[in-house]
Amino acid sequence: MPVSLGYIVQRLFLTLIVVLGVVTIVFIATRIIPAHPEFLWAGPHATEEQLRKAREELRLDEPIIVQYVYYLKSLLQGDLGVSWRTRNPVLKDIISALPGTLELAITGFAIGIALGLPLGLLAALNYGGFIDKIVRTSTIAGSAIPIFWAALIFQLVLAIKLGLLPGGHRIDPSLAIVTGFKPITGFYTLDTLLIGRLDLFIDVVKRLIMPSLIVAIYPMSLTARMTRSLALESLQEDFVRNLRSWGVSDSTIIRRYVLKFIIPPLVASLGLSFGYTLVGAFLVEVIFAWNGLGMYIVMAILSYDYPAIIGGIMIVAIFYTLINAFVDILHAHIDPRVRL
Amino acid sequence: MKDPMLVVKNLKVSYKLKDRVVRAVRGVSFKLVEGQSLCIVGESGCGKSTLGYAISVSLPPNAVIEEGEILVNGVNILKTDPVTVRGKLVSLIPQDVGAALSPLNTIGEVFADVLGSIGGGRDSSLKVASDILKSLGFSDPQRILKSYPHELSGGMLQRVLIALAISLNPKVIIADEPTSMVDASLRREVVDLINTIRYNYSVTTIIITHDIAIAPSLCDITAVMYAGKIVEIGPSKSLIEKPLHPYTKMLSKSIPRIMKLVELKPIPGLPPDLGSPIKGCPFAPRCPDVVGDLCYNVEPEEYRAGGRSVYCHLYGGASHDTISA
Ligand SMILES: Nc1ncnc2c1ncn2[C@@H]1O[C@H](COP(=O)(O)OP(=O)(O)O)[C@@H](O)[C@H]1O
Ligand SMILES: [Mg+2]
Repeated sequence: MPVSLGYIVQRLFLTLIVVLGVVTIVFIATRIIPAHPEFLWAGPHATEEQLRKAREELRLDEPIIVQYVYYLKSLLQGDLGVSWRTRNPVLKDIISALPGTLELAITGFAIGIALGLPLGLLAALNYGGFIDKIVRTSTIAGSAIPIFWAALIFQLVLAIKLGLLPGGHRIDPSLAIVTGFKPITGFYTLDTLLIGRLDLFIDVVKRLIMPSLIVAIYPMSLTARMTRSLALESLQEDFVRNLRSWGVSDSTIIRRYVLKFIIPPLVASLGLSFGYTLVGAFLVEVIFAWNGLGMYIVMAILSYDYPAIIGGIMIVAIFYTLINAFVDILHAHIDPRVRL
Repeated sequence: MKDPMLVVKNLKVSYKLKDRVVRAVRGVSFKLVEGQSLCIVGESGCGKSTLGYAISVSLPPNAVIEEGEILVNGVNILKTDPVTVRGKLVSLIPQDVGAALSPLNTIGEVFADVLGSIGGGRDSSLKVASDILKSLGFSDPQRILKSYPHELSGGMLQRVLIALAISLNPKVIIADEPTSMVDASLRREVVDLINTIRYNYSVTTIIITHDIAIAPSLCDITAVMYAGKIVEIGPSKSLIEKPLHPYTKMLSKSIPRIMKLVELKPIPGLPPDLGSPIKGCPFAPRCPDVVGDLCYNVEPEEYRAGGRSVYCHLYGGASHDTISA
């Protein structure tokens, strides 16, 4: 076992510190913005008296440090507070929004890797040739394009001008009402299959294609670029020349030798880029009216919904640090040279 | 006279770099019959390895064969699908033992892929591999097959590399500096091993070395390479006892001899940069016997004497009217 228990405990502790730091910063940021959330809480046309009561309930008149201590106290009991906008417990809102983001991010991420890996290998084997030039140019473009811009262009061309694919929503809203569709796991591709509705499944998949392709652009470019340079490096190794000279074919050399060198560092940097992919998914959600955590946080920000903002961002931070820890541990497992 | 097994004709190999071209092999020719062995000696940077990679069809991607032919058993291997040549007609015992095998794959995996390239499943491949390893003196081949390279000693790795190179029964084997990376105590063993496989498999062998001292015990013929060309070639024993080319003379003086307390004389200067054009005899700037303008301006031609070829103006290789022309 290349990963010691001590290491895992250490990483969890680190995660805790990072999350606490993020919560603190976001907490302070929300409190120093000159907003008046009591208007939201008390509802429209509230009287002076109602507004005063709202400020009291939300503890808006207490010093920030007192508000902070109250927040941490309930946080320790697993309570993220109640959303001022939806009036649901924030945790419940997040749990129902998270699958939408994960379905989008994971699909995009998987598409990106599945396309990027062979592209990178192809480029390395054609080093300096036509395919190599195309892959290199498009991967540079792919990591430089702002994701919301790509999303808008895709939406404009594929959905609005050509009408090839739906331009937004996770599921056809009227179809969902007519069929009484209720999410089970929150992953709609899975849920529509679970209830055995192929028509809904096809609708959901069609709606997933465009946003997930946009989310895929960045991981695809990164995978292709890294695979290419790692493969080029490995292909120069003495042992590759030797295997060739003993009669082993190039495809066997790539599959059984070079990939062993490429995968561990690839997993390490792709793992780190999953955080970036999540952020990309948030932006895509907003443009495609996609019900997910990104949409939830944006709505929370627009309506000064403090508990929802802090809770949402905290969940993102927890995800981010846990993924990083997981990637490091995975890296140690597949690369015998790494010991943690 | 037997038909030659390996013929190299006027071979020229260059490396293309961004800003220049390195002419690593600048016209090399020789012939070997079946079972014969050739030592290629010379300082580092003379193009020995490049010649070896060209013959084993494993040049790096930036290398270009500018001119020449390589015939193995009558087949021009430069015009043949490399897949049918590598390992099967010609094979390589590589130079750097430490980097020769992938650190992430077991020896058994490598054997399975090498033997698998001619068909045959994993199990039968491993069976064959274990027989080859046994014949090379490993008492526990199963353990070797399960090992990673870093778990074996330098001497064991050297033998594993030899086993891999001969596993497809090639006609020609090239060993690149087989004794340079192993302990002095193991040199003898490696030399003996190469001789054994040479006799047992009657395989034509090329041994590249910068150590001219081992040439007579290893090879029938010795070729001395300098700046991408052969400057002297002939039967090993007579070549080393009575060198003709000034470079060969200096090489044999620069080797330490056990029991003889002669002063070691390293050769002053460095071989020329193969990335710039070379005029006249490439050795002229370092040559103690240099004959003025002739050596600096005219490339020496072949001069033959007693089964020996030497490329040096001292022996009247070039005619004088080429200078005035
Ligand atoms: N892959 C390569 N690219 C460019 N130049 C190279 C490459 N390999 C070798 N060379 C150059 O070719 C010349 C001959 O090298 P090499 O064949 O390795 O000589 P030797 O084996 O005699 O030391 C040297 O000048 C070396 O720098
Ligand atoms: Mg060399």
